[in-house]
Amino acid sequence: MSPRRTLFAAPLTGALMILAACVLPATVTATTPPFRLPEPAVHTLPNGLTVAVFRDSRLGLVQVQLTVAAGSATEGAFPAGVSYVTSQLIGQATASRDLAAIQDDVERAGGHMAARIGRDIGSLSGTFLASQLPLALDVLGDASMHAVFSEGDFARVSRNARSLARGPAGIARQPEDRLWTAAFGEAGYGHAPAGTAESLDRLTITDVRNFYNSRWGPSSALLAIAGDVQPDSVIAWASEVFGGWTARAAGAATMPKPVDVARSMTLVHRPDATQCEVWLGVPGPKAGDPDEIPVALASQLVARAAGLAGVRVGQSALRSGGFVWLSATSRVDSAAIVAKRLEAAFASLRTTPPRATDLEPLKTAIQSSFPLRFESLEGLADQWSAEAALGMSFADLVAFPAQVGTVTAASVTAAARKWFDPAHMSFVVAGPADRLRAPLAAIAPIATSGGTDDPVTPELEKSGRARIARTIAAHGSLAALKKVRDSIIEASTVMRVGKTEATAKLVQMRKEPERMIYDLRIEERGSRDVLADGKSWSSPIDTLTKFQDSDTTKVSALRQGFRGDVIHVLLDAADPKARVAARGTTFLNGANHERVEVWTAFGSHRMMYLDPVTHLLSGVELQDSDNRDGSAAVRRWYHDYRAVDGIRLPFDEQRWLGAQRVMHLKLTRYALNAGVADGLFVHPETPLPPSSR
Amino acid sequence: MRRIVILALLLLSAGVATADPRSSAIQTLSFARGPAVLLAPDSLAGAVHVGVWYAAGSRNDPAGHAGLAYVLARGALSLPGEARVALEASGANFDLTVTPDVSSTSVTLPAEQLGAGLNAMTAYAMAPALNAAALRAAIDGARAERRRRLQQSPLLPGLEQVNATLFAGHGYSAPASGDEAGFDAIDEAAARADLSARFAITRALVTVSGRFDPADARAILESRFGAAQPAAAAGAAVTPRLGTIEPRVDGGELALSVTVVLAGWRLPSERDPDAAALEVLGRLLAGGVSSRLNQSLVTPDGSFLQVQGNFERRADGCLFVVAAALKGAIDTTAIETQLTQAVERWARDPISGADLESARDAVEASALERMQGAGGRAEALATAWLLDGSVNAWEAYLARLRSLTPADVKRAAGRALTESQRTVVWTEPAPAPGEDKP
Repeated sequence: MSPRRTLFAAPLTGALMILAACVLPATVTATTPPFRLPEPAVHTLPNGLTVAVFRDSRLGLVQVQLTVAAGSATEGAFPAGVSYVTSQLIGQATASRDLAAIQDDVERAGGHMAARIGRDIGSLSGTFLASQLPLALDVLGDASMHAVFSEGDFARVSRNARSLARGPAGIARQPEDRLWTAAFGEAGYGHAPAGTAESLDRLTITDVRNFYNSRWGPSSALLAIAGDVQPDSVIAWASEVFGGWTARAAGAATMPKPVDVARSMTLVHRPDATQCEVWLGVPGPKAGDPDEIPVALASQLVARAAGLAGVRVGQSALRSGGFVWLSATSRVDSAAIVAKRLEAAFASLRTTPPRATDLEPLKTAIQSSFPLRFESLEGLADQWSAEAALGMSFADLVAFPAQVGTVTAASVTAAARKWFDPAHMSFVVAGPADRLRAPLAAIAPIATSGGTDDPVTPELEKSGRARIARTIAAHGSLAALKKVRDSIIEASTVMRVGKTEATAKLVQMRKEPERMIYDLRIEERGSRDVLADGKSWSSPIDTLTKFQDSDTTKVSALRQGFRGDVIHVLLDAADPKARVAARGTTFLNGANHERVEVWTAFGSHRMMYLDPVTHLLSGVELQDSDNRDGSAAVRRWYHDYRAVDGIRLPFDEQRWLGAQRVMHLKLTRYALNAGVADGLFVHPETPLPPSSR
Repeated sequence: MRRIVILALLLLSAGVATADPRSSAIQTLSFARGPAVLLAPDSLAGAVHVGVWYAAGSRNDPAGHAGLAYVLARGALSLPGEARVALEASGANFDLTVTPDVSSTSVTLPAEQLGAGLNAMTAYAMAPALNAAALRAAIDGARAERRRRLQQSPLLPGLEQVNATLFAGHGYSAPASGDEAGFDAIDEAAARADLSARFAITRALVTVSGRFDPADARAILESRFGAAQPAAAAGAAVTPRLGTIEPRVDGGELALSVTVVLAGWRLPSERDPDAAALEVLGRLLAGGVSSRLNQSLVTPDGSFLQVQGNFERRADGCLFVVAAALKGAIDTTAIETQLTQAVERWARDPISGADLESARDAVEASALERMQGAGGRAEALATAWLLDGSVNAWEAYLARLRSLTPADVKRAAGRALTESQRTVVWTEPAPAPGEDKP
């Protein structure tokens, strides 16, 4: 969504202010023809849908955009990201068309279709041949009004969303998401538009269906149609297609209320970062507020006043609030200085009016670049929709350049004085938190989120080690754990395979150093994976002479699997080379748990859940081994502890991937130091020693 | 569907494909010591676009210097210095384009900046600067870009092999963005010579499109180049005679986990009357998830895992290429026959009216969508002028497109999609690191 409530169609470079001095004067004075926006024919249907038709006959194309109040700020109590996932599912299937039929019809209409969301709104839009508008409206209307969400589509789309959230793009947008949350709280505009890894883990298909039924309805919806069409006919036709659209469920979005935020500093922990990202944001006026445009101009002037290379500026005027922010990159040891520079830039405009030589060229540049956003039919439909969704009229849109012209140095200063209040500034700094904490605490109170991005302070580490020591004592002793040289686990398991469950027999044999056999038998078939000497191979369980060497990914997974049993999880946490930190308590899997975050000496990252009463390990979240696509949390929950050679070990284990249980193990045997034979770990290519079994 | 038909009647007066109403306002000028100029005003446009275009691309890169046009575009065509910074500050967006047929440098800017933009672009086009450091940086950049593309598109070497085989001896045989051999051969002398030849101001076409007064633009240009004359038709580029095609080529290894076979057909020039029919057929065969090739070849029990295809319009010969990923045991003869027949059968079997309409609409919509902005319109008009000798060529192409019949498509396929115009390139998956080749 590219709302009108930003100043430029494309970001400008920091060179804005040299415009007056350096634009080459033409030897001939050009007389620019005035820019004229085509005025729309607007009609509101009885069900609340407003239709606007813009006639532009230059090319035989038409743009159709349906906009609904279904952005991330409307998510309410739903998990963050439900609006995004819903939008990505729109157009996958309807009550009368499957995906192939939808795509065929879109292709027949000579077009393409896409759904997007912003903080206030969601939209479905497409470009088509004007001659195919009947078919285009029919398929777009069907996709938006009669969407059907299948389990398979939901699984795929939500998996992609989780992968994005946990991948490089998600990590990159964390500071900005945290900034909005710091400024607006956990709800409304504080919701991350694409969700967070944690919120997406909680998201269910029921959430999506309920969100769609309550938000994707005609009340306050907008339909913009721009292109080579006859407005009267198109309005009649849109009435025919969309007139029967009714809200499916009550509970339409309540728009977020402004929150009174206090000055704060949030750290996004990036332990290995050599540079920091410094963000500073402050609430701004909502769309239509008299201060909206002065603040927008002020934000550009502030960015320049910061005097930092590569400083970035953003400004949003939304339906119920606004936001202005700056960000810059700095060295770790300069983060506090940069944060102060950004704040000083905001402060300077509160006291010192901008010079005319700065303000006037900026106004001219904004006014003259305003028409660039209407270069395509998509731009026209998008700009009108964004404006109308904010409750503004076409006249407001047209008046924007003139409104920019009325801004004075005094109005900029007055707006800055009102909005750029140091008491409401939110800072977010992404970098190594343990190095940043002390210098940044002097700028603003540091807020902690309780997440794994929190720093590891000496106090938290001490507390974490104490919890680990208590847990190891509850399991037996560290000495007893260290005496285990091999182990055998035999279990009957129930596994999820696709949509069904299957029973299997599982055998795991571990032997130090780092050797493991993993047998899995389902009915009469089975496979064996072997890890030894840093290599691994697989074979069908009944014909072990046929083997296949594994790739490095499999070797890595097996190595992590070797250290994934309770004995190794405890040993790794007790290792003095591991970093640990107490992380408070949490309610999960129907019980309270103490949390300890662990970065093992082997490079794994785990969250251990400890029973606050028995102190036994009640669960562990692995952020490595089974989580191959990185898209969902992998958790194991342990029950039915029994003593085995003086060590308390679980005989019931459940493995969860996100919100789904993928395996339930009931152990029939847990043997320690049973003498697992070395010969089992000999690679089949080497001469086999005499069988030891 | 009945409702659609009824409602469509309401729209009878809209959506009827007609000539672009802006075309009548197009002016072409020439200057004795300057470029050809094409002025395409559009009072409804949001911006003005200034472009400088050259009939230079891989099509006519000097022998042994593949990618020279691309390197020169990177190293010498971009507007440098304060003029660029100032225009960017006013909201201008610069662009460089190099295709197999044309190269261009252009800027889209607020209409009020016409004078500044046109002055800056034409002044620089008269004396584009190239020094050793800029050339080295351009070559390094082109190498890095090629590495990135190869990394992102494992199929690329196979596609390049198809081009090399179909257009052996012609510039299209090398990638438009160059290859390592071409980069190695480029030196400053060759670059300077080419810059003053293919990129001379007298061989350039300057386009101004979007919201502007043509009289203003003309006055600005005359103040720099002297009095303007009406431009004579440039004359269409001459299509060279191309050699015979090797029917089957070993494409070597691709960084993919499956075997891929590619089939390519060398088609007539985009100026050929059958080009539109072949583009529509290409869209029908290879466009979208439900393309005819996927429908006919990808079956649960068959050897085809996935089939992709692409039609490319070019001045000296269009191209249709299909890439198929294979699974299971591979009978190369049977697969070649299946794959090529799935394409060449349309010389015998007419496509249905519904299929024609759907594919034709998709092609037309894509073309029109590219034309929406002032920059897209400039590109279409400039390409038509430089290669077809007429600014009306793109509209003529659209007109041909709209009037196509199934018989036209069948005739074009029979003429162009033949064994003699085809090559097949077999590739094999590269072994994973540490894995021995069997």
